[in-house]
Amino acid sequence: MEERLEEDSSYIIQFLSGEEAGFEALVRKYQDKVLNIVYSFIRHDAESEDIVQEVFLKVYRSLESFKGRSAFPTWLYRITVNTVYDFLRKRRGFLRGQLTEESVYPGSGPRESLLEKEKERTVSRALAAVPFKFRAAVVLKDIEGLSYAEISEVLRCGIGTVESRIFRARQMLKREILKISGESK
Amino acid sequence: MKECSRVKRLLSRYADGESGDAEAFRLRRHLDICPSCREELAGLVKIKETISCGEKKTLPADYLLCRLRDRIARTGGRKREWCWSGAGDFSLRFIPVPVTAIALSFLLLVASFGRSPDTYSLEDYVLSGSRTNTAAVLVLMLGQEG
Ligand SMILES: [Zn+2]
Repeated sequence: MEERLEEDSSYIIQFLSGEEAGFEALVRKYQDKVLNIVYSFIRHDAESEDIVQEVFLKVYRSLESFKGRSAFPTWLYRITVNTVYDFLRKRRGFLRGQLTEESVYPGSGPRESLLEKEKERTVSRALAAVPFKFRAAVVLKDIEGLSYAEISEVLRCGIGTVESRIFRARQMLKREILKISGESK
Repeated sequence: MKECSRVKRLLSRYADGESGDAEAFRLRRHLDICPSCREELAGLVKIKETISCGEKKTLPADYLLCRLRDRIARTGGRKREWCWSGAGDFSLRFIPVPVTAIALSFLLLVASFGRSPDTYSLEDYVLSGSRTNTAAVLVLMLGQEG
């Protein structure tokens, strides 16, 4: 972890001293992490890619103001969550619209099993039913594997709040998954 | 059982490995003897796995960088941008704290004109139960000096 952060600092210093290579290294290192967080909210490939681009553009333009009070990934994930939030706020109903379209679940290849597709669909629908602040906490935990302390820094709330948001998110997910599996029977 | 409802409340953080040693020990002891809480934990672990084992997305190498380079070139390089998104929690971003503080100070300054400063002491203000923010206290203190 320590090594990873030192590496980030060296990339940031490189960028601030005028070399774009520092920024490019940060993009290569974090693009898939950011993409997976975004995708878990958006469940749409092209829109997710656009949002990831937006996130890194914000990073590019505000890296000079990054004070290093939190670790770079914490700062990056905060920008990510906020950018997704803004997107969903502007495009209310986006997720519901997506979930009714069969075509948005292309999967990773033609051989993807029907079962996997169905599972993916269930997760998408269940996650979509969880309000944003609860979903953000559970996504950072279960997709990105952050600790409660790290999540509390990203979401700027107490560790107790993170814990209760995750607890409630899982209760909602459980209820939704049961409901969906009941519907499909 | 009362014990079970307390345990169930703690299982989510136990499943995340966020319980302290003593708590984890107590929970394990309860789980050993309670099938209902074991089932609850198994359900939680399943949900965790379902969320975390979803399809992992990857971007082709340098695909994003090409898009970014293009966008940056079109929008004028490294010009600084005020980035709300980096500035705080999404749920708090609609309360720009510095702006509110400045506006409040200004209002209090305006309000302090026309009022005889010695009719209202700092103690009165504090004892009145009004919100004592720094700006208000400063205005009252400066007023008293004048
Ligand atoms: Zn029990």
